[in-house]
Amino acid sequence: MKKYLKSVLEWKICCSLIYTVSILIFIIIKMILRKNDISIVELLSLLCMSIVVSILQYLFFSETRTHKMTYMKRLVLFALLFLPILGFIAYQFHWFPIEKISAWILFIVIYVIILVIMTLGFEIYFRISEKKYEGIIGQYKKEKDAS
Amino acid sequence: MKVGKETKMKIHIDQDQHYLETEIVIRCSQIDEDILRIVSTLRLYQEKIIGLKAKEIHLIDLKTIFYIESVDKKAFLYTKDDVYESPLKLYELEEQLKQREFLRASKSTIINFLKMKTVIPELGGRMIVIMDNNEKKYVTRKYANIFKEKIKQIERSLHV
Repeated sequence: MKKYLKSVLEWKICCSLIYTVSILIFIIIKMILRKNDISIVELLSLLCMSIVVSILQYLFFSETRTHKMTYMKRLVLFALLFLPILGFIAYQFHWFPIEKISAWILFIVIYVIILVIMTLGFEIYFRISEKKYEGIIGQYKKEKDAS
Repeated sequence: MKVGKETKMKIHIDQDQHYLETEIVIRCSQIDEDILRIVSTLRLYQEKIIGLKAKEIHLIDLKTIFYIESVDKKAFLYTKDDVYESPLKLYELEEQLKQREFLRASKSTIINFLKMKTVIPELGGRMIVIMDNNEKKYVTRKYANIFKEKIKQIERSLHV
């Protein structure tokens, strides 16, 4: 029961964060397109997306679960599963002209670009942190040995 | 320290200015689990710990321990080449060792900070610790802040 409640709490926080960020991104896109309104349907579509992403995030990356696959495998599977789901939401809520193939291609390209940028960004940040921590720990151990 | 219900134990402290060093003598009919726990706790004051291997009692230097892991409610001490069972529970070891560079990394693991090579952060708040022998251990999100704070403290002290 405690584990279940912990999982629900974790999912709820993740869902709220994704929803907030997706609304912020949506507002920026709207401002670029010089549109000053967000409809309830659009907000609902973002909510649907946030729920789906947070469930996937829980399944693939949550710490409360044991993952047998490597991080990279989970990331690839997450990306492959999320794309059709996102496409379905985009189709249902008419995020773009769904009859145009070029719009779908652009949608997939943007999806891949965002995914690659985010993954690379985190990877670079983690590598830099690893080197920095290695230096600090190494220096500390030298000082301890000397004293 | 929890001592078995049936164990009756007298504690005598003999104080005299003529004694040159502190000596602890335990008189018992046999060395059981409780006695080992008492000795193990006392040894920690000398930066040493008791470990059991093949029914033999070993005195292990704390500096040689890489990490401590709990399996089936038993704590195991991992050195470079050996694994020893500790008479103490993981929470007791955590309590005794927290002032000695040992940090809790997860529900079942305590890591010797001085045997760490580096730390790699991961998405979701978890961290991977690479030990000096290149073994990987995980720091769960719950305990990751302890490691981050320790590294920050060191960083600050190195810059002073």
